[in-house]
Amino acid sequence: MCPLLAPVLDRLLGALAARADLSVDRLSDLSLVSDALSATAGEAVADGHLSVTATPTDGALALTFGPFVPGGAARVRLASGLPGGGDLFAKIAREVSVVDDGDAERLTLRIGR
Amino acid sequence: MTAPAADVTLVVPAVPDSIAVIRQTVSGICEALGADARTVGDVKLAATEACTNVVLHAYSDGDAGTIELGAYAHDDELRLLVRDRGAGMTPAPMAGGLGLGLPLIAALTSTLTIVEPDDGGTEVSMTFALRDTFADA
Repeated sequence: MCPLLAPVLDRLLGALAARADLSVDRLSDLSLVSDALSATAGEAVADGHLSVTATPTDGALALTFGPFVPGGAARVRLASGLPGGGDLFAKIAREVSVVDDGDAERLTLRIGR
Repeated sequence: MTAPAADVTLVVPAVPDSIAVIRQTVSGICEALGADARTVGDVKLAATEACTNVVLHAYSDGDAGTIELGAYAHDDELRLLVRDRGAGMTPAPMAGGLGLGLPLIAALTSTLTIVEPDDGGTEVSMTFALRDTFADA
């Protein structure tokens, strides 16, 4: 994966969180998401690039990551697991969803304030 | 954006709030490339000026538009493309401000190119040397 991913994703998610008025705790949580994706997404993305779409909604920020190869989103979630066996994304996000549009998967985290 | 694909592409609404997101993204790119502090400041300032031009001038009042940022890193050089899909460059004698934006960008960059692509809008291409040559002397 591109060496730019980790520093750019960390700052980008932080800036988006700040613009969406997320709390400092959520901003800190997003650093974990950034670290996890930077470490694991390289093997799972479909075309060598990770796309991030941020959609602010009432009281939340929806972040969609992809495109992942089939099964890639699940592999990213598994590889990002917490030491105790928990799902990092499920603990941080209000809602986690994976959409498969036939060609690729996209992982969406809905982060509450 | 034109080929080849950028190392980093960012598309954000052309509103003042987006400038902070762009500045943070550019900082991350510079950090990853090992740019010195002076260069990071120059890149952020030039990117801010180019994107502010888009926010202020590219789109008519009420039109929803975007700022497209493309970053290309190679060797000791960083190229940033700032693109809008607006009205293109037009004289704006009553626009206010000091009119220093483009001269400032030119002073901060190794090369500066401004084109109006066939499909509309304006594309500003800025190249930066990532090492401070004066500091190395």
